[in-house]
Amino acid sequence: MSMERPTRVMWLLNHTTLRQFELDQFKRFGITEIYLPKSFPYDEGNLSASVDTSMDASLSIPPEDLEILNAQNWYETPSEEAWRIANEHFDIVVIAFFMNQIKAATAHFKGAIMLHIFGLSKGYSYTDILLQELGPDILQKIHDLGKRFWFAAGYEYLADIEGDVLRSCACHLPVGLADATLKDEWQGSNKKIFFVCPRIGSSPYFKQIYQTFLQNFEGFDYLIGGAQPVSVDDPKVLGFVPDDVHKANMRSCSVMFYHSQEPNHIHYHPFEAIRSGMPLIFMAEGMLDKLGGKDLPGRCTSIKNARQKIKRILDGDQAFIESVRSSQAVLLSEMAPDHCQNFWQRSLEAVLTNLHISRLRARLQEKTYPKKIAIIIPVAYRGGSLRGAKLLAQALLTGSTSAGEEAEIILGHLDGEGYTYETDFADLSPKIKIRPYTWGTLNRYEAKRAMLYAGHDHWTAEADTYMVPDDGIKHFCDCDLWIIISDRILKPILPVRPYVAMVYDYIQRYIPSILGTLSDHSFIQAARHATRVWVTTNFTKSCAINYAAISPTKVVHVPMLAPDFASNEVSEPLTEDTPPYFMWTTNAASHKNHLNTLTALKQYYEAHNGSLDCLVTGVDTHKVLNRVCRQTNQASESFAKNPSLHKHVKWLGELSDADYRKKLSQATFLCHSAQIDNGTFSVIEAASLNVPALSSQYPAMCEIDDVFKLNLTWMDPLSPPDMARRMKWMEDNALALRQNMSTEGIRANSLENLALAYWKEAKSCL
Amino acid sequence: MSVKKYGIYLAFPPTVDIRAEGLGRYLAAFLKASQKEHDAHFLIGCPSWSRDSLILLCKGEGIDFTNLEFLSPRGTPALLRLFYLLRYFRPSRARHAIHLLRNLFRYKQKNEAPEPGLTVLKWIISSPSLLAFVVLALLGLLASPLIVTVVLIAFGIKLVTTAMPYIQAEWKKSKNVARFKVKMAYLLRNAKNYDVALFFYSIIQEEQSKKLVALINKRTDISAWYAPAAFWDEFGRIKAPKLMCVPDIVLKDFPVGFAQIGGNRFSDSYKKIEKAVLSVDYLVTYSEHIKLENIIKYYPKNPASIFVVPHAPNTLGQWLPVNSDDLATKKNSKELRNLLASALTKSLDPAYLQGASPDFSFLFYASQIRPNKNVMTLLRAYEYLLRHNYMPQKLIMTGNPHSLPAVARFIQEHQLQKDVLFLHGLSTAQLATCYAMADLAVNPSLSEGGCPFTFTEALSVGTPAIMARIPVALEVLHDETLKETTFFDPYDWKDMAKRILWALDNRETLLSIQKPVYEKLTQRTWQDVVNDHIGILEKIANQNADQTEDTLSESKSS
Repeated sequence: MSMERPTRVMWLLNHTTLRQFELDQFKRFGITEIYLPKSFPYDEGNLSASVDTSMDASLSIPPEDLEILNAQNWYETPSEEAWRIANEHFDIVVIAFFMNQIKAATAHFKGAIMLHIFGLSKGYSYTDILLQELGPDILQKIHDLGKRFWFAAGYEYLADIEGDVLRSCACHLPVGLADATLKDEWQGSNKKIFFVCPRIGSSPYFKQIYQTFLQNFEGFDYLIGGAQPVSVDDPKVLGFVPDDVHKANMRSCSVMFYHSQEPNHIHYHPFEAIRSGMPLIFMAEGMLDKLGGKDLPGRCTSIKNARQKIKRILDGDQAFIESVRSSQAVLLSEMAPDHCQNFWQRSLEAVLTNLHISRLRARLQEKTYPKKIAIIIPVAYRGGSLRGAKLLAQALLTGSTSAGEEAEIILGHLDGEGYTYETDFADLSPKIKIRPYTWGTLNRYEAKRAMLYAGHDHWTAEADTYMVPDDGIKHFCDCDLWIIISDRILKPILPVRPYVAMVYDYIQRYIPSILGTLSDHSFIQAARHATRVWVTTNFTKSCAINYAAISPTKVVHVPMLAPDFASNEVSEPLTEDTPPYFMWTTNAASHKNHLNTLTALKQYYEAHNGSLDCLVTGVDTHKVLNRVCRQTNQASESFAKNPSLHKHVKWLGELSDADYRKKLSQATFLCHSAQIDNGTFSVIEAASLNVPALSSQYPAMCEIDDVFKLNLTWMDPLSPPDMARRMKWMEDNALALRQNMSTEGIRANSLENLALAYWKEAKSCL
Repeated sequence: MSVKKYGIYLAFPPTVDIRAEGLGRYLAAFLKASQKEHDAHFLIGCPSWSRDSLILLCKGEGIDFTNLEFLSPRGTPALLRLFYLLRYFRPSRARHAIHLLRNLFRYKQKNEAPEPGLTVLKWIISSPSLLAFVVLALLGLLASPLIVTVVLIAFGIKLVTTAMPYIQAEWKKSKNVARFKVKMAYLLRNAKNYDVALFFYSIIQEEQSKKLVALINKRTDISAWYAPAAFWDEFGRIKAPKLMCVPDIVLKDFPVGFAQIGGNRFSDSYKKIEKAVLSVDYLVTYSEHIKLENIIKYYPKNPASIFVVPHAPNTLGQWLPVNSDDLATKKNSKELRNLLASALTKSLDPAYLQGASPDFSFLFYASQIRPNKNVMTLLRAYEYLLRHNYMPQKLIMTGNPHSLPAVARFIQEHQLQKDVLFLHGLSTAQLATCYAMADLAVNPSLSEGGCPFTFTEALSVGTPAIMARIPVALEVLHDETLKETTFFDPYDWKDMAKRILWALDNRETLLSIQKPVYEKLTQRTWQDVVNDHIGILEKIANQNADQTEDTLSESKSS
């Protein structure tokens, strides 16, 4: 409740009859500024809905804001701007049981949220449906909202069958009629039963009710009211009729029959009948019993009983008709605005008092501590993956700084895996904290307890064992977000904190042997359970959605972060007398396409008279020949002893960064011949040294070429002849390519330029 | 001015020795100070079984207990008396029997307490008379609804069918009646830390608390009630204005660490705390941080009804025969050296310390080993300083390393058994001596309810202290120079190591910075703490009176 402005309500429903009554209740309480939505989905859940613009004039909010609000579909996902306006000007939103509306309001609205409900069929509860439709997270969310969320029950006892969460936030907002005064309009001259049953052609539930009615009241004449989106082949089914026709039917038909024995739900039309003075014959055990109908003469305990009573009315038994009409008024009194007013006042007072407290609490919480983000390296990565993790840490630090939002970045590495600060992390900003950890496990009971203590009261353990990073301090629970570098997680991660899985690729989809005997089931599960999955290429995004079947809403494409190769100057430039060679940067992994590359090299030297030596560098490249040998069942000697290869291919192994750059800077071109992966930054490094590159053509590399404007030359990694031809082409054209190279694209994608985007993504997960 | 009466609500479970509880020390200080208060009189509402323990606490702390007024339900429940009787047995080889009961009841992994069908059973169990116990058991069985009878019969069948093989096996192993009886008795008597016992204790405690609250609600002369702990959820049922102390809700900050220790006992306590926090209108904490980050952040409580009363400092100088800021003077004191030697006998590794000279230098951290105490970071820093910087000091701690397996594992893996010592069950004088003889007190704790006592305890015996930079400490210790020299980043063992080294190299400088702050802190006494509480109790009592008056006048006018 703001001291400076009047209390305002957003009544985000469109039910016509309900609106008339509830607006009146708000006004009686003193709330006169009420926003009403200007559109609603034309579906079967809104057959009694309409748009009302009459309250717009009462709103003292800027017209441009009102215009934005009016443009929204409040039943789906209103824009962030709309929620900003809602939060700025309004104190209460009233929503109904529409899943997207609930999701959006609980996620965005900072005032009080009143979920107005009117009862369900027997055997159903709102808790169960919420769990089924939105999962356990929604109950947790509602629980976390505390006294800002209200289960506003149209009938007080509706909360009784709900779970703890909804029951603990229940309040009573009774359903009523704006005009509950008895009108002596009924004439009853039309000797028919008036029965209301909408959606006969489109809802099996109502079709069953319709058929049961026909069967039970065979021999009686009748009229059936209620909107029918699908027409029904029965002339007595009226379908949608204007209000005056509806009222005329209420006046003229002799009797209304109300069938429902639902203990938790009731329709408006029995009350409309009572108001007009029409005798109401209704079945026992339904909600009318609870509203004082147990002793009424219109109450029937069986269909036989109902038939008898209806017959008496149709036969003109005036004494009975009068006894029904005079006694049934008691039901209407429950719906009278004056009767409901006390309950409304009490509930709205509680809502606003607690909102005031919530706002006081929020104000006290405004002094926030810097956000802490942990980047967790789940296996003892080195090389590119370690470099990627460090780049990410640096990007988040830079991003938060440039956004003016202080954040602490922690890089977690596996303890006892030979990492040292001096060699592995010395290049990081001292502001990035390095924290060793080991993976700990919790059984399902420990996991449940941990989640309980962390405030997730309604979480249930689905796995027998959960993993959690154990830093010996707080299990990284001091951090607001975990970003796990890769999905290489063997058991589910305990979701005690939100986590992002940074997934680089799904090579196993294309090269199944790459995982050996390992199954990627747990990897996929780890990503599916993540708050977000970050990918750096559209190709991996596609794999995440289509191979790992991760919800597309979770998968976020973040920019590729390349190291700042330009800052590593190479002292010795290319000279004329340097022996001509090109570099093949690879490692021993199977997706690196060694067999095809060696075959292509053989052809390059033998068929195309290639003159450049090939320098092979990378981790474990001494294993390459053995791997090829296993793949082909040939003796590795067939390659090793091949005179051309023997003469021209030099196996340099893993070089230091400085040596590698020196060699690369003097190469004629770089050859990247992998079959598939998430792309390699070696081509960017080459470009930063003005060295052109010949690359296998596959989606991730195409994206890298596109983003960094590298002007790569392509080859088909599955065709050694094409690869050999392209090698020769590069030999002939490298100098020309070199003259046209530019590092503009690389500079545009520097860490400094991309850092903010990373920070924004991370922030959206907090 | 009329004397106002206030109540202190205590609901410790059966068999708890209040003297051994952390809360006991706080309570003693509170009671002692309250006796000097002339305008307020305190009454203690507690279960029948706590009275003796409270009297022993008062005796030990020099509190005149003859003036204390107690309010307790009559008698001790029969089952509890049975436990007491059996306490005198000293059997061995009883673990099998404990497993037996565990298997019988299978209570361990259940999160829910027994349901209403056990109401009659609860009534019987908590009966105060042995005769009544038997009679009520029979009557209860006869009078209970059919379903309860069925449950009891099923329970009995289960008991017999499951127990018989075990009992037969135990009988065979025991070979004679006496040993068998002893074994079974041990099972019942010594099972207070087991789930089966907790099940019975919880029933007894629940029923006793209900009776206690009923008695309390009859006492209209008590203006307001105060509970010094938050895990007694029945407190919320007292009708008079009530103030509950929430020292912290530490499980929230260390969910994983605490989930791995304490089992369902901890989670049950946690649920009780949550329930109590939600049901009691007025709360008091030791720090603004706990108010904001443990309560307001998570629970829909009105900030205006949560009060903050900081502790008074704990001092230890009075327990020492010699006290000085000069370390050499203390180290030369024969009495202190003897006291230290006696403290070292409490080591968990007595073999190493047998015949050891107490003249070594050491760092000291007095604390239980709990997930929030950040012992692993201290160990990492210590190991680094020892092995890379050749720091000569040992590290002495007071907890049990096996409380957290990771701590015990670290000590073993890094073979620190002779340099990291754990002294368990120290007397206050021994604790004071350890502080006094240490080169430096180090407190790496990440979470406390109020400013850690380490600072005043160490300074009171002339030892400087360095501590984790945590909000509760910063609330009390805000001198800029002191902050720069005293605090380290508790998440960064390198920073901790750096601060330890600096403090050892600049011990005198650090002491000279910390001493004036300490002197200032000691101006606050426990009497001030009690007065603050009385002020709050008076305020909430008056507020309640105003509200009652408003309601009365409203009803009169309508």
